[in-house]
Amino acid sequence: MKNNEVLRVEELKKYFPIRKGLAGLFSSRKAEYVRAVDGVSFTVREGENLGFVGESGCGKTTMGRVLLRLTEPTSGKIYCEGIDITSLNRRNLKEQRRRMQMIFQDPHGSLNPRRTVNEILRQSVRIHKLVDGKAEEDSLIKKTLEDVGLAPTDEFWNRYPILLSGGQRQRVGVARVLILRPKLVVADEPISMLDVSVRIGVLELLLAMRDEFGISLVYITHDLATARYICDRIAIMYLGKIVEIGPTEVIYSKPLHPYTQALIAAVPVPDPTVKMQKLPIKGYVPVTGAEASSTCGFYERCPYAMKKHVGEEPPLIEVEPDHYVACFKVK
Amino acid sequence: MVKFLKQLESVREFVKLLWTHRMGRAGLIIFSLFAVVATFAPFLRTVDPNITGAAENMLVPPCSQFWLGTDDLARDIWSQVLFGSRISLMVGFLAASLSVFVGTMMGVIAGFYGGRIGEVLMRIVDFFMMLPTLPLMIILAAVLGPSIWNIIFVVALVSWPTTARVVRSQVLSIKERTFVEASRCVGAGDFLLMFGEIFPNVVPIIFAQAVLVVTWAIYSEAVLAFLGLGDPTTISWGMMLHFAFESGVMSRTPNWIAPPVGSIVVLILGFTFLGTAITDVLKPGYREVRGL
Amino acid sequence: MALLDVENLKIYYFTQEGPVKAVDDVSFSVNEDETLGLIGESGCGKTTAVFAILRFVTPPGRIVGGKIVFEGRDIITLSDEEMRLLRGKGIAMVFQGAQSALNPVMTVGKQISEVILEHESITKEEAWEKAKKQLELVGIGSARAKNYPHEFSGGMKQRVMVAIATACNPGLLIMDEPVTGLDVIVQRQLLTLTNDLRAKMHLPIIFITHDLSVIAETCDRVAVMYAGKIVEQGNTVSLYKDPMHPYSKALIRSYPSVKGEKRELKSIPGAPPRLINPPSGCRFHPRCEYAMDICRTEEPPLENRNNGRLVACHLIK
Ligand SMILES: Nc1ncnc2c1ncn2[C@@H]1O[C@H](COP(=O)(O)OP(=O)(O)OP(=O)(O)O)[C@@H](O)[C@H]1O
Ligand SMILES: Nc1ncnc2c1ncn2[C@@H]1O[C@H](COP(=O)(O)OP(=O)(O)OP(=O)(O)O)[C@@H](O)[C@H]1O
Ligand SMILES: [Mg+2]
Ligand SMILES: [Mg+2]
Repeated sequence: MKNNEVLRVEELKKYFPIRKGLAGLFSSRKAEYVRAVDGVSFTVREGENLGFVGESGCGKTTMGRVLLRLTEPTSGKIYCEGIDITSLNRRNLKEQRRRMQMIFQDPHGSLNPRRTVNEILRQSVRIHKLVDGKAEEDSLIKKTLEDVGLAPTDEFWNRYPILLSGGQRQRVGVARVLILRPKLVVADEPISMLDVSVRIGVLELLLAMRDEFGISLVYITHDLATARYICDRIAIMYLGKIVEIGPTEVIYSKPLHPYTQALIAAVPVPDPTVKMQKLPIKGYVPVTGAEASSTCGFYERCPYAMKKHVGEEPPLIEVEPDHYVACFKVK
Repeated sequence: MVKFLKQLESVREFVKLLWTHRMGRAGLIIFSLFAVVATFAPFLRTVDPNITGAAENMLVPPCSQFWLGTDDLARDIWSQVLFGSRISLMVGFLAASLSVFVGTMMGVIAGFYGGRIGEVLMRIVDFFMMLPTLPLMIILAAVLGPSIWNIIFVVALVSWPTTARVVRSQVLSIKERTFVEASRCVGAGDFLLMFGEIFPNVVPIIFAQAVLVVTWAIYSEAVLAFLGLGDPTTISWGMMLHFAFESGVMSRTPNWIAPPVGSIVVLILGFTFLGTAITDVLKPGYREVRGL
Repeated sequence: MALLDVENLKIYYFTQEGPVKAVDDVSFSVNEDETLGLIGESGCGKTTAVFAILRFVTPPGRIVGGKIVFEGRDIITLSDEEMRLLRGKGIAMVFQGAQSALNPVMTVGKQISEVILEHESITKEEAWEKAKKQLELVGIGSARAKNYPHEFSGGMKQRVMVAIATACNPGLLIMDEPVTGLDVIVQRQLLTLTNDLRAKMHLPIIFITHDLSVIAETCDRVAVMYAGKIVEQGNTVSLYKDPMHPYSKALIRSYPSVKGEKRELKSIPGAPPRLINPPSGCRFHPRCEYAMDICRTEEPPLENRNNGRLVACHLIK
């Protein structure tokens, strides 16, 4: 194991049982599952931002939640700095929580409406006994608020979240995480609900977390444009599996998997002189396979699909250093 | 001591806040009126209400000596109304505190844990809810004997399940909000989540529920006493009505009936106003939006 | 003359806390055979402005002033019956978050033909045939006319809404954030559909969004809204190449792209104001890096600059 790995995930799976009506109770068939995350393996290095991109419903959020054990994985292993997260008990998990944190999508819902800004941050400080004494606490909170650009701090100190703008709320969300100095942060579409003009500000803050505090980021999104801006590597997900993973610029300049190509072609360009590209694929994401897929999950929509491969799944192979693709077409 | 002063300060803040609300102001006025009356009853009374008077003073209409007249035992009605407010307020507050405390605990725990613990707790709640309220009160009051404490106990016993239900359903929806998950993610344990994060968000509902129980307790006390299940040695508005009814001259003595009935109605109205105001005022941002 | 002329439109919401100036002195026009993009951040008054065109503004909102002239008639003075006829047949709208507006217990074909029957005196069978044609048009296919909304994905429901809106051959189509919340591939399919409608039916469209790149793909002209006002308006290509208002400039500079060179992005400080108490003078001045004294006190008028561009900024003389 390389020692600059912050996170190592091996064959992670999360299946949700499909709830059937009364009829299901009496049927003799085995329980069926939604394979939200279906055998994902990857690593995140120290001070690296890894992006997860994919269509809606491909299992990105579920994966993020499983990484922090906010839901239990069905199988697979997660190591954070060498510690196996999946086998921790409650107490050790609380310790571990300090090192892995999450930034949520909804800035309105993720702050308790009845706590002021300083109370929200103080909670983190108290739970992990970061410092002793009220004065120390105050100065630590002040410093963190300044770090996330909520200055002058006095102005925000006693405010309730309802009186903050979306961007400011998300900054409080970042501060709550930053104050713990975690090694890894999972951010699930952290800017999709923000006003357009404040998005870049929050993105810059996420970048600063990497550059100033050495925090690695798992950035979950379906917006390829912002992912390009803040990620060092990108993983493309489809139906709970990684179909392509590699350095950001490589993925964007020469995507190999047809799904990646489609995703990139589909993104509108903020330049009216550029003509829209034709989409190479058709159709919609199927409801996550209830049946175990017996072929490449992308088969139905793939323009290059080949009959002879029905019955086997393409493995994720390294086509060049650090660039992996799961496609039969790619040799 | 410092802490106490600080708490006093926040109570004052809160009252000030209520004062800005139209209904809150009405409720506060009514409530303080009765509170003053109850506290200073011994000084405001004209005659000791417990003392039965001479025969010629029986059932006299309002006059300068007996402001609201007297009852069939020649007791002063004005003074009885004054002392009755003490009982009503006491019954209301004690019953509400007891009921809300138990109900909130059960509701928060049942809502937060769900699963088996929640299931068992809710079955207990269901059992108490299914008990027929009035008959139960009558039976218990009859069995336990006529005492004001029994009335408080009975009211609390039959009203906590409603509180538990209301709180539980609120907790069920709040615990799904992202901020709870965010707190869990930071490392908060169950206790902190329940009482540090979720509880402050159910406080308005609890307050509203408490006010409901208060009004309900005042009303129940009156009903039980009226039915003769009250303590005949304590003066309460219900008791007054009971005696009036027993005397058989009820229809001819409005000055005997109206004061207790009016007091009950006004006090209940006042609490209802307060309840509405408290729920409004506790909405986050109420103060800030109005620049207070 | 333009197809639609909106002049000095003012719409306020009279709330308990005071009037919210959601649309304040807004003017724009739509010509035959053109797509106008209306871009602005959440809460800047886009929906309110187009609601006025259909007279959908309800209390506490009220049209306080201005004129809306469609095909030579002032919409504000029309009777309710005339207005009813105009909606759907004259001007149609795809509402924001419209996917959830479909009736869950009626087949999509039926929902389309109901709308047609309301405006045209034809038989049920003819309406049904027409509904099927509509579904073909939006790329769903007539075979699925008997499906219920829950059998469709979000993007397909959005297409059904377009099919309903265009069923009576309206003279103008308004689409309010039709792609917000859809993911890239579905969004692309809808944008292609929008462009097809333009090309095949020569349908003028007002396209509302907060996404710069979506406008770039679909619109001929664009109006940039900020805090209840239009701050810049002009031809899409020239506006993107050479934005003049500091807000448009900042917006374009802060927008990432997947194609081409990775540009340096720059954030805009501050946050959009609440419209109940907007900043004095130019509403953008607290966030503007070029703000001068005059910007704090005096409101810049929306003026025509040499190349047909309308800009409201003191900086540009
Ligand atoms: N608690 C759950 N119970 C059952 N199924 C679930 C649950 N959570 C998620 N799923 C299913 O798992 C799949 C993946 O969902 P997930 O939310 O992870 O997708 P996503 O990639 O985050 O999508 P989006 O971009 O829309 O947020 C979906 O098919 C979803 O319906
Ligand atoms: N019924 C209402 N009462 C009071 N204020 C309202 C009401 N409806 C809208 N507003 C206010 O009017 C302003 C403009 O709202 P509008 O919905 O037109 O914005 P928008 O540009 O369409 O935003 P979005 O992108 O979120 O759809 C907002 O500030 C909003 O708070
Ligand atoms: Mg998600
Ligand atoms: Mg809108």
